[in-house]
Parts: sequence; structure tokens; C-alpha cells
Amino acid sequence: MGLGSGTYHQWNDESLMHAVTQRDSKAFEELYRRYGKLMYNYFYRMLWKDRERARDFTQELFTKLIHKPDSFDASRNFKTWFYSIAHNMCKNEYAKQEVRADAHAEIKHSGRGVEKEKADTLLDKEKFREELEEALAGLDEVKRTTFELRFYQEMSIQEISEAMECSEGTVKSRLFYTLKQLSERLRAFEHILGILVSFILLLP
Amino acid sequence: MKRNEKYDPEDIESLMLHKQFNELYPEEKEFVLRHLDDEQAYENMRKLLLEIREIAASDDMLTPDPSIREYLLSELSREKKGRFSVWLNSLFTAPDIPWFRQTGTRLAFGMVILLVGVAGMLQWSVQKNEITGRRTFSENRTEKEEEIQKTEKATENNVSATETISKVEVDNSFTAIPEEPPVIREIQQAGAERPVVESKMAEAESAAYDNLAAVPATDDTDHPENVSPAAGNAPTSTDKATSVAEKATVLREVTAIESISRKDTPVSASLGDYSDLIGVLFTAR
Repeated sequence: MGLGSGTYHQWNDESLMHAVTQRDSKAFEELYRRYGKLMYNYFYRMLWKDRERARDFTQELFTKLIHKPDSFDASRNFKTWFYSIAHNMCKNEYAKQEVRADAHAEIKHSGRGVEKEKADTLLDKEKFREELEEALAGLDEVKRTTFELRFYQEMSIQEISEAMECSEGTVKSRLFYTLKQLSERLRAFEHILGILVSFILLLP
Repeated sequence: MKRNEKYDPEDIESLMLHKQFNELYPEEKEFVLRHLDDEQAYENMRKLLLEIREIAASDDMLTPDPSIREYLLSELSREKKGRFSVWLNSLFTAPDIPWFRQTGTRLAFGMVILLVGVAGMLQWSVQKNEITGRRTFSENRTEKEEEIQKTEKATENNVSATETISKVEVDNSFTAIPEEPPVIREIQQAGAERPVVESKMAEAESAAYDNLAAVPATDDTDHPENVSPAAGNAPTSTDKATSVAEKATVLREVTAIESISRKDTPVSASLGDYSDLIGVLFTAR
């Protein structure tokens, strides 16, 4: 590269990845500094908020960089390539966890039970957040990933299309319909909330 | 006929983030209402979008366990170490040629490389042995040359040694040699000059036998002073007897010198080999 080790933070992701193929540990450290936290949180959110699983997946993802750095296509954007690997890992995990939907339904049921017990705090933002998380969890894997990449990983439509290996139009469509679906669900939730709040207020 | 859309669904997202429904331009409203049911749906979606943005922004990101980083760095250093073996393996897999993809061809290629390697090692070993042999030969030759030089030098010295011996023959006042004389040592080292010694020996033998034939037998020829009284009464004179005894002594000395000169390698001769000569020299006269 011809640059000193002190300038690694100025390199772009692709240059760093090229250095990693030469077993440059400093370049690898810089890549980990940039993406370690992001990927950990991505896995955490995508894999049922399981810290242990997120930890294992993050470790596995970066280990792939070490063992198969040549699999990176230099003509591609590193970020989208890296997210596409992470996305595929999640897809494989979903396939393994066939009982996920049933397990999730059970959790959802128990969650509803808790909601009823704490009706006085329903208007809390935290409750809305929980409902949103639940609604997101109920989405299919593709829509959920698209939504996650767009709003939590703050990726552009183009980056999402590269990461998920689909057209930009498909990404836009998915995002729009996901938002619409969530909105309808949350509107129903707010409607229920409104009734509950009115009922509480009418109580002597 | 299909109209060319000015906006995409993504643009609805953008519109929602920046404008309420009543702030939209007529053509924007038209576009929005083509995708959403009514104003309420737009407002609900807008609210949701803003909430999500807020949640995502305020969501504290979890920090991964430092052990992940440590593990990865150790894995990277291990990978670095293992790279040489990978490179070695790639010797047999590197060429991406159609005929080389067959396993049999690769095995044959590997065997050929192995055989060439073994042959090279053997050849190198033979050459090394030859070089070592030549070096030993030249070293031996140098040693022999040194020996020859020593012998030549010793031969020169031997001439003086012979002179000394002859001096010993003539010198009647010689009684004893305190220790091994240097002359003898030189003879030991180089070997006597055979022709000179042999001629001396032959001369001495003939003289001694001539005289011994004329002298009566004595009890102790080694010590002429112990000659029996009967010998003194012999028809020969005392002087003559003394002369004969001296010659006998010389004969023994010469015999001893000859025995040393017969040694092929004077250097390897032990002190015991010269005991006769030393004995003679010490008991001379």
C-alpha cells in the first residue's frame, strides 16, 4: 500500500480488505473497529436479541474474513458484500430454527399477558417500542432484513439491493409495504390503546 | 396508457419525513393517494416512520465482548504461521490447466518432483564424497612430501652421523654416553643411509671374522678385560686382542644400526627397538 500503519483509519474499506488478504493484522483491526459493533448489533437484532448467538455469529463472520479473504470480490463494495454474508448467515440460521415461529408465538402470547397486567403504562413510548419490535418479529425474513438494514443500519437503497442481491425497485417496494403493514398493525394497536385508556379514565 | 411516475415509493418515505399531508403539493398528494388509502394512512405511516427513526437513533448499541477481538487476532496470527504450509500445498494445486485437474496427473507430477529431488540429493551426496576424498588425498600427499623433505634432511644429517660413528670407532677414549645421543635419534627418524651402513657393516664383519679366527676363544667377548688368563698366554699379543674386542663392539653397533635402518617408518619405532643399540653404546669398551 505504501502507507504507514498510522494511516489505516484513512483507508477505505476495500483497501483495508486488500491488506487483510496479505495478512495485515493492523488492517484487520481497523476493519473490526469499523464493523465489529455494527455486525454484533445486526446479529443481535436479527437473531431474536440473543447476545450469545450474536457473539458467536460476529466471531464467525470475521473468522471468514481471516480464513477466506480471497472470496472478497475487489470490484464490489466491501460493506454490502459483508452484509450479504451476514444476511446469508441469518437466513441459514432461520432455516435451522424451524420451530422459531412456534416459539415466537408462545413468547408473543406471554407478552400479551404482561401487557394486560400493566395497562396503566400502555401509553408509554417504551410500550410502543415493544409493540414495534413485536410487529417486526412477525414479519417475514426478507421484509424484516430490508427494514433492519434501512432503518437500523442506515444503509441506502442501493447498498441494500447489493447486500440482498436484488434490484433497487424490489427494495423500495419491500420497504413501502413493510411500513404500510406495520403502520396498520400499530394503528390497530393504538386503537385498542385508545379504548383501554378511555376505559381506565372512566373507572371510578 | 401507463403514466411515467415522477416519484417512487422511497420518495413517499422522503415526503413523510419532511411534510405533513396538508403540506404536500397537489401532484405529490396525487402520487401518495395512488399508493395509500387516505390522508389518515399517510399520517399514520408518517408517525410510524418518525418513531422508528427516533427509536433507532436513541437505541444504545451494544458493545461486543472484547474476547471476540482477542480470539480473532490470535486466529489471524495462527493463519499467518500456517501460510507456509498452505503455499507448499499449493505447489501441487496451483496450475489451473485442464489436463492438470485430474488427480492421477497431479499424483504423477508429485512423484516426478519427488524423484528428481531424491536424484538431486544422491548426486549431491556423491559429489560431496568425491570432494572430501580429493581433499584427504591432497592432505596425505602434503604429509608425504613433508616426510620426504624430512628424510632428505635426515639423510644429510646421516652423513655427519656416519662420520660420528666412525669417529666413535677410532676414538678409544670413549667411555659412555650419558643419554641417547642426537645422532641415534636422527637415525631413528630418518633411517640410516643404507649403502653407507651396509658397506661399514660388511667391512667391519670381514675384519672381525678375520681377527676372530686368529684369536682363541674367551669367556666374555663383550668385555675384553675379563679375558681368561689362558688367553693372555696365547701366541697373539694383548694389543691385537684389544683391537679384536673393539672391532666386535663396532660389529654389534653396526648390527644395531642396521636393525633400526630396516624400519620402514622410523617415526613409528618405539624406544624398545633401540634398546640393543643403547645397551651397546652404554657398555662400549
